[in-house]
Amino acid sequence: MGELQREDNTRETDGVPRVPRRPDVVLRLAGGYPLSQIERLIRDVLPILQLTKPATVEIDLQRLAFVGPTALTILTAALRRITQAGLLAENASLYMPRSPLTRHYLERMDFVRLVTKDAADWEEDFERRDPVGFRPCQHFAGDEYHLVAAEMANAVAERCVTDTVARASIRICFDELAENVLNHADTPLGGFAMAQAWPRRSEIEVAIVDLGVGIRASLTKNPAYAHINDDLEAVKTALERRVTGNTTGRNSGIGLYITRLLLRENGGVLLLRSGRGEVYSGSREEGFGRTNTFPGTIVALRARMDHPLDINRVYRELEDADNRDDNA
Amino acid sequence: MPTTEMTMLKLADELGSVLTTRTLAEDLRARVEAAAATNDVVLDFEGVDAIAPSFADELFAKLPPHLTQSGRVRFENLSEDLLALVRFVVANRAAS
Repeated sequence: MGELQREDNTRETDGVPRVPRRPDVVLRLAGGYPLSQIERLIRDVLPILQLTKPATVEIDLQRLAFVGPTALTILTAALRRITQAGLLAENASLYMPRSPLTRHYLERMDFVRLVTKDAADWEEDFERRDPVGFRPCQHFAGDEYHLVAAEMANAVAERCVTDTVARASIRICFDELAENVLNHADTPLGGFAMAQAWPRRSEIEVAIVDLGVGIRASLTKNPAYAHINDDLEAVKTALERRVTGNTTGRNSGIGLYITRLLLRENGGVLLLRSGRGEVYSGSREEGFGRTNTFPGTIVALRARMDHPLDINRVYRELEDADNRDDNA
Repeated sequence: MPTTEMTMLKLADELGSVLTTRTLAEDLRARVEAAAATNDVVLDFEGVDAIAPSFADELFAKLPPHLTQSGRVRFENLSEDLLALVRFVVANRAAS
């Protein structure tokens, strides 16, 4: 079985791999992949995500111009899977972006460290500083999620969050979402998470990705939702209150629901994608049945730090709403 | 006349100002239940800014109701916001 090996393409000018060959699968990313272009990324990464038996692979990121935290987390998870699952028939070439800015971003976000074995052999041509305002992509399994959530919250909060409750709200969201991976993804690969703050835009973006069984398979373990046979319906249902695939009583199905309410109040965005189902919950909520099947679950959130982010307010409003229902 | 000792747990000191993670709450609840077998137990929330729903569900909604109804276990310095969360998770679990 092979490993992913970074190639020295920084001195080339023609974009042609040093050793011409015909791999079974070529992943070639070009242009930008912000949160709004996640569907295009899934389409482009699909040949890698669909690999079930060893193949020769080439990863060409030379023309990659921009990659947002969510796209980078998906890419990292996909490449980590093929190396960890022994799906590389031989060593595979990784061509890093030609743009120094993009290349440094990928390195700073620990992309190379997570997907290649020989990352330490490469000298980085920039100075690494302590992560302030971002948390590099992190692979987590088991109870590590708690530490990952705390680190991500602290890292982004240091750059653009001064309010104690907003910091606490971010931390709680991360924790709830990462715990979902542990409880529902059912994958030995674990989860991947990354966080980034943009102080000038007063925004943070967080992504939590797993390549597990997906929301529909998890949800339908609960007989109450066994009738769901559509990914979009499963994703929409998962965002509702008291919905969980777990029938042991361990979970109560409120983490994702509260995160959605918190972001709606904040004016932010929550994107939930699994299989072909996607819900984009922002100023209005839209559901999509997509063409490409994502094998696992993507949760991405973007919060505005110039608006209140107050989970305690959500709790008060939930109780008020319950009281109104009881009185109706 | 027998006297009952009191166990005081200051949660901000033990777990920080943001209480998260179901497994931590599970451990805490086990400690509370064990202590309540012989002592009155007070959970002091002074300094706690926020609580995650999963933590609240595990601690408050799964704690045997007779412990709080009898006054054996008491919560102190819970803000109105956090009390709303407690009532919410208890009602949520009762309804599910």
